Amino acid sequence: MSIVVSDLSFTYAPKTSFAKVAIQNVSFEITEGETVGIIGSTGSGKSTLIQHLNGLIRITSGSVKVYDIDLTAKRPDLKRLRRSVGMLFQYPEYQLFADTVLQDVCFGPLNFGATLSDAKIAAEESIRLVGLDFDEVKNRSPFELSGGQRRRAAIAGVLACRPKILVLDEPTAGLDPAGKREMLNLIAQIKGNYIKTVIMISHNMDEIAEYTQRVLVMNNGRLIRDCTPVELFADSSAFTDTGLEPPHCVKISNMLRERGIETGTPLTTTELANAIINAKEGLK
Amino acid sequence: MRDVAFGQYYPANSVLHKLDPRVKLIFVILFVVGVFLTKSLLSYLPVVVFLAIAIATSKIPFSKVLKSIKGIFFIIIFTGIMNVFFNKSGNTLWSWRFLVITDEGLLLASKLALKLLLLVSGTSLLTFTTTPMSITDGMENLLSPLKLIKVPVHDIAITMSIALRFIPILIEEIDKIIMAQKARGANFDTGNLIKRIKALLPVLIPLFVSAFRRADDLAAAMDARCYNATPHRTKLKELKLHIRDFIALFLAALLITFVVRIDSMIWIIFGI
Amino acid sequence: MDTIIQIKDASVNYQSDDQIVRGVSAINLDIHRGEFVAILGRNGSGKSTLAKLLNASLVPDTGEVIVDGMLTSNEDHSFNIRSKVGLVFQNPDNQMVATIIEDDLAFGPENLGIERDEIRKRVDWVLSVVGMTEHRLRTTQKLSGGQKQRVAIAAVLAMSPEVLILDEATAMLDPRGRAEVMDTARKLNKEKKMTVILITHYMDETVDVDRIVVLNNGSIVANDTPLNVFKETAIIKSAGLEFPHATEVALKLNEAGLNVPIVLTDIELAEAVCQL
Repeated sequence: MSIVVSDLSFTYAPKTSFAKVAIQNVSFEITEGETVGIIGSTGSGKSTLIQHLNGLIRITSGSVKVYDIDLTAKRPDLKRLRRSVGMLFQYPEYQLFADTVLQDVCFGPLNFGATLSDAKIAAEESIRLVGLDFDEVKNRSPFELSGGQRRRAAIAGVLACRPKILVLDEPTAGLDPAGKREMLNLIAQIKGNYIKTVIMISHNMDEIAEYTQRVLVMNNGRLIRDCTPVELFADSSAFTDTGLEPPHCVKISNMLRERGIETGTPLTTTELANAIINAKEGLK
Repeated sequence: MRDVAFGQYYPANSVLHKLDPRVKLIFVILFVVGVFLTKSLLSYLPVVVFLAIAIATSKIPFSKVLKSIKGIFFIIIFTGIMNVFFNKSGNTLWSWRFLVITDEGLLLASKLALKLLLLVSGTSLLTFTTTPMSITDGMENLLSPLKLIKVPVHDIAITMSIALRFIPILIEEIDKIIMAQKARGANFDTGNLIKRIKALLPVLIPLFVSAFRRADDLAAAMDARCYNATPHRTKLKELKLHIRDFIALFLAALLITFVVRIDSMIWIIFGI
Repeated sequence: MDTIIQIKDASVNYQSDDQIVRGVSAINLDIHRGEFVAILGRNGSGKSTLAKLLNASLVPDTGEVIVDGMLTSNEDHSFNIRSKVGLVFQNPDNQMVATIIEDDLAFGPENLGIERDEIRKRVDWVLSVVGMTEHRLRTTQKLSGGQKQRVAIAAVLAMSPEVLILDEATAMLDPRGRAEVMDTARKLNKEKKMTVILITHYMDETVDVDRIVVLNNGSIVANDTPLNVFKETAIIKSAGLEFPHATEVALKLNEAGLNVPIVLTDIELAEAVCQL
């Protein structure tokens, strides 16, 4: 198991008039190698949940274990934890600060105790991995890059720490369609070659449907579903009052079902097109 | 950092909410002066009674007022302890090595604590019952004579109200950046002073970059909404003095008189 | 049709530090009163430059932009133009001036020197238009993203503009917030005959607009109804755009030899498949 969360609850500003329950009795396990999507509307507790995975919030109730690091321990080894769990927040480009891209990407490895030369090797490798031209950008200020490039540089800064688990919060937010596609392909490529486990938060059901194998649905602080995308989207009742909508392809296939054409639960346009073709051939 | 209670407007329908912001500003100034003029313990009485009445009429939940005090709780404790232990005049009540507690020290410490408590709860009552916009409106109006000597009073007022608006946003932003850098292994709690200041750069630089970006955005948005279109800017909310405002001003004057004169008055009434 | 905005051969040439040309070149575009127009294009294609041209925050280097008969290059008109062409931006937090919603809504009319009673009327009206009347005395900080953007729209409406431009106003919102903003924009267009210009990256938001304008490298490469624009697959692809999901499925079915008409919405596709 790479992550075991059990009976985790958290309340902001407890015992005051501001008290706000963020998550309540959440339990799940994630095995090494999985790609897991976490979905839920704003305020459903997704962000609070993933902050726990990196020891950014002190556990007050329940437990979290990441590999052999028990976060309920009195002094958990946060350094080792944060090295194992790479965390990419929303709009990560806003965390860049150093004079050059290379220095910025080295920040993580150096914090985790790498030597300067090791950090530079790791930085170069990850800058190339995210698809930036290393020689072109290494000595440039991160603030000179375009928006899409800045986000890639920020991802490189996390990858250079060589985490085993990568957690991404809305990695495609604010990008244009081509940028979104490239970002998702990059994540898939990283997952294939570099990182073992990927956890991705997204509002976009189409992205979740296409890129993850398992979905955790959060609603009002509770984990209400933990299943595969197909299982989730096959059951439209799962969406009532979560503020989320099924992917377009699922909506279309539901409309087709109402009209007597069965196309299963297609998650991508290709799957839907093929299902329609098969259904039509079946009729003939 | 998430729940900054101090200075946040609390909507309610009370006389205090309805008072003219200029009157409230003058009031708070007089109140602060009054608190500083207090000398004997007795002279705190009118101020305390007065504040209690104000809080009661404001319809602000008492827990809210307490919360605003909580922020400076440690300052109060600290100054209290300093005064208790390091004031050596008066009769010694207790001593151990260099630590001495005297009756005068105790009195001084409690007075000081009381002063701080009154100041904070009094001024936060202003921000609880008055929106930032009307505070700045009130200030702009009170300072308007300065327009004659070409002081851009309106711009100053709008700058202040924008600053107030962005404080919670920037605090949230700091939270986010700190988290992102911690996730990259940044350590803010160890090392000597220089090391710690250096460790703050990865937070401060993104914060400034973001603040400038926000400023740019805001400037564009203000332009798009015709800021500075005409020198004859109008106001949705006109500042108009009502009878209640005059009564409040009268009460404020009364308060000051009481504070200054209470010792002699008591003496006049009961002394003979 | 009555034209509210005319762009004639307008060019803006400027290079920012990162060497990306964000200008527009030789743009010709008419916007008609009451129209709902979407502007699409990848980041840096010139969409935001175009938006700035429309409310006189930017004056073209060559060519001209005329808003309701006023030339944007004439500085005497610039405030008049800005009150006619309201602009709502991407980040909901960065466009509110006041802490209290009602005060923020009054900011525009106050700047224009409008009478107090009239400001009151307008504020109350725009609050009801965007459905925020009950929140009028709340602080902006506590609202959801969708609510904040509705306030931003209301703040612009309070100047009683003729044109509403949403410059990627839905980009930072979750699906619920996006739906709120889009519903508000559609309602304004349908019921109040407001001219709406929607700049967006979400193709599915554009399927029911009157017209789509596609920008690529600062030039207009398509300017037609959604159906006609999305039929131009080569243009869509080279402009870095995508297709609405239903359209993409229809295209794939066509590739596979099924004769499905090109459609835009989910329901249209379902109907079309039934007809096969």
